[in-house]
Amino acid sequence: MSDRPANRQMATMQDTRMESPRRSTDETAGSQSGSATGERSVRIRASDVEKSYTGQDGDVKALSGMDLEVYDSEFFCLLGPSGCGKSTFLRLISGLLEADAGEIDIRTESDGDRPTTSMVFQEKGIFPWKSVLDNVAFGLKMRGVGKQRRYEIAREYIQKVNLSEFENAYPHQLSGGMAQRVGIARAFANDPQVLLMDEPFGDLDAQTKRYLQEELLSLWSESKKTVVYVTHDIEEAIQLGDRLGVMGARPGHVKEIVDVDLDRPRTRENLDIARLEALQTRVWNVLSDEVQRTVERR
Amino acid sequence: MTRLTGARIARQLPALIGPFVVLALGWELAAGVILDPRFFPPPSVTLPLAAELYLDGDLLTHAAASVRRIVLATAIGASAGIAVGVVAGWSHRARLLVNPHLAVLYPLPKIALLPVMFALFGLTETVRVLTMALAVFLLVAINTTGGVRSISDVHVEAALDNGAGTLDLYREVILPGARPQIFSSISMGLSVGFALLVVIEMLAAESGLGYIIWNSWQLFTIPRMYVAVFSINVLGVFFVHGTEILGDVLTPWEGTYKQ
Repeated sequence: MSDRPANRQMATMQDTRMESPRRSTDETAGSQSGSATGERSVRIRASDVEKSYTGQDGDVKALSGMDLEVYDSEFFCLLGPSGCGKSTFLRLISGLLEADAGEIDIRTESDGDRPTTSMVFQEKGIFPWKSVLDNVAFGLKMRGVGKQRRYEIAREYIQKVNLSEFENAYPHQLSGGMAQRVGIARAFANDPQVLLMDEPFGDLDAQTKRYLQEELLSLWSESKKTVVYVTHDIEEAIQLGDRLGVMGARPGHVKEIVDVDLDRPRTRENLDIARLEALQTRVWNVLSDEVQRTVERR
Repeated sequence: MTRLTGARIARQLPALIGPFVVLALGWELAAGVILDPRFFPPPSVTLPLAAELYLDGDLLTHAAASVRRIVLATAIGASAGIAVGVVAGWSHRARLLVNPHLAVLYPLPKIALLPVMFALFGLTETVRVLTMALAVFLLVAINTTGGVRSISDVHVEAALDNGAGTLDLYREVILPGARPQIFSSISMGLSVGFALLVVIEMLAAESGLGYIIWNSWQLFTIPRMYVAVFSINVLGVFFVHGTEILGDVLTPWEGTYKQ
């Protein structure tokens, strides 16, 4: 494992090129991003994405005119009321769903067989019939990594989420917070180029949530992966994200991008409270009429 | 795992043997007092007879015939049931096609089909086995369908997101996800299968423990009849509970199998 970070860095420095096997590839996207955003390179670019579902009363538009750019190595939070299509968008990035129109480009590095994306699911995303070890090693198994090697990698990440004592336990023996750490370890063990997270801590109590957020941030800062994190929780988004994409609903689209210019670590002592409150107010102003619309339609 | 299985069987054994011991003791004490020994011969008569019939007589052949039938019928019925159940559980279209047939066939007592089966296939061993297999098939197919449908979407998504192909999806998600229901339905199928076995052997066979029970009743060799009755009882306990234990061992995530 000691050679991995070096490898990754080399790939990022020298061998980056557009390559997206599951999604469409835009050859010019790389150069465009250089001029459009200055220093920062774009990792994910979504342009004019549309997605509809066939419901009981005809088609329901989940996303329309969805434009978004996510930069390399940033922690991007997609924030919006429930039903605004943020989880749908995450599934479009992952390739689990296909867009009806528009394009999603992900800049990938030709680095062996690292997967482009890996998803951490809302809850119960880990397999109840597999032990912690086999859950974490699952993606590696699917990519044909030998048993000894994949268990070695899996154990490393199980240790990083502090579950070493539980590697042979089954999910029904774990608490909700522990189970979600297994999901996070599985995604990191895949060593994806982009990490997708679908409200991973939504069902946890406040203390556990806080603890796991810190654990996640330390894993992220160690790996410097690009993260797209979906949540409906304003405070969580500001706590975690470098930038926020605040979404509007029906159909879903990005209303506003907010830069979270707070220093890390965002601990209680370190936090600029006035700035935090200003950010919260700004996000809430964007969201409040959305929420009102959502509530009134029920 | 094997040691745990052994420990588990050792723990369950008294619970399974206990009822036989209590029955035997009570029966022995009551024999001649309130029980007519012509119709209810005590264990002191039937046990030595059992040893004699199994060691020197042909009862072992008959027991083997019964075991062969139940094992064949369960193997055929369960494998067909799992195959149909997995497909019907996974594909909405297949379910629309298959479900009505299963639903209509399921409540029909399979023994009613015995003459029809004989008309189709002749008075053969195939018919005896297939009639039982049909009962096992229906139970396993319906429960496997339910088991596959109960697998939550997020596990399928998680498997696909981790790069699983179609074969992986079956091996890593669908079959383990439905495994608890599959095993409990095989166990249910076995107990229905035993009921059919005895009736079929009574009606339409020249071998098997069911045949011995009916034949002994007609010849009024009552002790021999009881030897056959208890033989089928012991076989039933072995197969039905054996399948349950096997199912628990193979689904350790269910937590029924405490370490």
